[in-house]
Amino acid sequence: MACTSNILGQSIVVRFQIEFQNQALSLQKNYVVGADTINIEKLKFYVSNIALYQNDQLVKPINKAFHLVDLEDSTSLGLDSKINTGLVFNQIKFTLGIDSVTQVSGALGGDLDPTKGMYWTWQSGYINFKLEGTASNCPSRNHHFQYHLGGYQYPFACWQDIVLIVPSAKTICIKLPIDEFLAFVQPQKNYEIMSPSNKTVEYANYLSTLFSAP
Amino acid sequence: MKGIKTIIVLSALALLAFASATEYPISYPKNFPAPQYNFKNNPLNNASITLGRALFYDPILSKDNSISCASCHSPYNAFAHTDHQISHGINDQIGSRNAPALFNLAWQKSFMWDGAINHIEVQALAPMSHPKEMAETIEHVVEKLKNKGLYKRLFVNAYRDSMITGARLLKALAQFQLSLISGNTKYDQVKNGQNSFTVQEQNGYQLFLKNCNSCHREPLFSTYAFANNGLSVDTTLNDFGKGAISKRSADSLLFKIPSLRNLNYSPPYMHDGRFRTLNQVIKHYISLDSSQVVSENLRQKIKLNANEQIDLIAFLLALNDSSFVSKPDFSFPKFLLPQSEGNKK
Repeated sequence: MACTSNILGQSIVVRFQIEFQNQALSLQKNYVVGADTINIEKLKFYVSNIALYQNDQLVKPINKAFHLVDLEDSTSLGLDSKINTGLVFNQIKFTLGIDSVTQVSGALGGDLDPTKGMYWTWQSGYINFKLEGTASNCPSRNHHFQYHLGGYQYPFACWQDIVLIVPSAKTICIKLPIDEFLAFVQPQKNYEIMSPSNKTVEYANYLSTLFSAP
Repeated sequence: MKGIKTIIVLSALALLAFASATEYPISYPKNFPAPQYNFKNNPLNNASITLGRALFYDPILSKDNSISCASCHSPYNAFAHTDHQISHGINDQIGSRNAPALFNLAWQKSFMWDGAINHIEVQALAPMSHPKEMAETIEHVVEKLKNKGLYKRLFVNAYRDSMITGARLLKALAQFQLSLISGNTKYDQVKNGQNSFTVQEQNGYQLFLKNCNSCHREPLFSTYAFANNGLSVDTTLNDFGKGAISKRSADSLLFKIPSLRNLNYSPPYMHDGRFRTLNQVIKHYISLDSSQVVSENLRQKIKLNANEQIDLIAFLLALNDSSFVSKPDFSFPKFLLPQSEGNKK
């Protein structure tokens, strides 16, 4: 669903547009990247504390709760704020991942339910961002790569607060180019991140710079 | 009309066949510190504990429905696993650690020998998904439970509706485990003024206070902190404990300090179950010397002669809680039996 689609109704909608080579990313589709062929199987991440700001002054909170964006579920890509248009704002702020207080709060429900496949079991903690797929030049078994970015304890805490400049429009489109993330992490060399580490933090930091609101 | 009334009454009785959602009064000795667990966030109630107890004893939590929590945490062993140095799980696979005893969990901040788990409500995810323990996913367990009439009823009792979710399942399992309180040992009775130590036990108590209490602090008999007690690394396991989780070299070879309650029921001892007897454990501690890397509390030489060792063991035996291991409320729930009325679809 294109970000610019005309949305009926009067409330402000936040829409995540996951891209690959400047197109909406499709799961299970082969993308040729140089000499590599890349196929994305899974993409999920948590966002929370989404709020509209005007010059760093809070205008209106949109969604405080944790929301799981899952590319397999197209309805999860959009968030209806239930807030009428007409507000003046020039920034959107949100948190990517799960903060440390939530991480030590036991078994949680809704989008945080451990059945959502975003909880590490052998060591407590949510996965903030999960990307899995194959790259033909990836030397792993079946050319598979898995990036499970998470961690809440020093020095591997990696949830991110993100601020984007946006127009005061009815649809706020937030883009995330996955091809740029893969170009940075290089699946031909680094294909498995499964626990909190320095590399996890490095990847999460870079990931946070890729969100944009054109 | 009478028939309809009967059906309505029977249906209501079926729902009430198990414990109702009444508050479960938690009780523990007066000299226990305040629990770490925040009961306000998940108040114990009889129906949730009954659900948690069913889940604890039901092998439905494992991939092939063969292994339950109780397989490695038997009530007769103070919810530990005896007869094996290291516990075994699905398809008789051997893991890497000795299943710890389960009691007084509300006083603990982190779980597992290496502290990898930060909250009791998420602990069950670890054994459930471990390929050598239950090899299952919580997603699939939830699907399996949805097909069982017994669990529909138990979830209604506990949560007022039959919605089965991962979070509800985990909270109920935690409720049952939080109810496992061991506070009725001879030691507790002495502290309550209801019993008295023998001369030998009293002498052992003094030796305990001098040599052991800094880590195995009374009345819980553990600080539940992490320590290096000087055990050499078993090169067949290469288990470095907390260090492998935190990735900090200072945490290498730190393991959680276990409680000394219920030792009679829960051999073998240590994270890898290398000692079968308390005698072996004490011999280990008195053999430590200054050349070994150990936590600070163990740097001073522990000296115990043969008689003192016997007296110390006599005191440790006063920390066994026979009422805890034989409490009917903690045992296998008979309604789980296939022929039970409650377990019919």
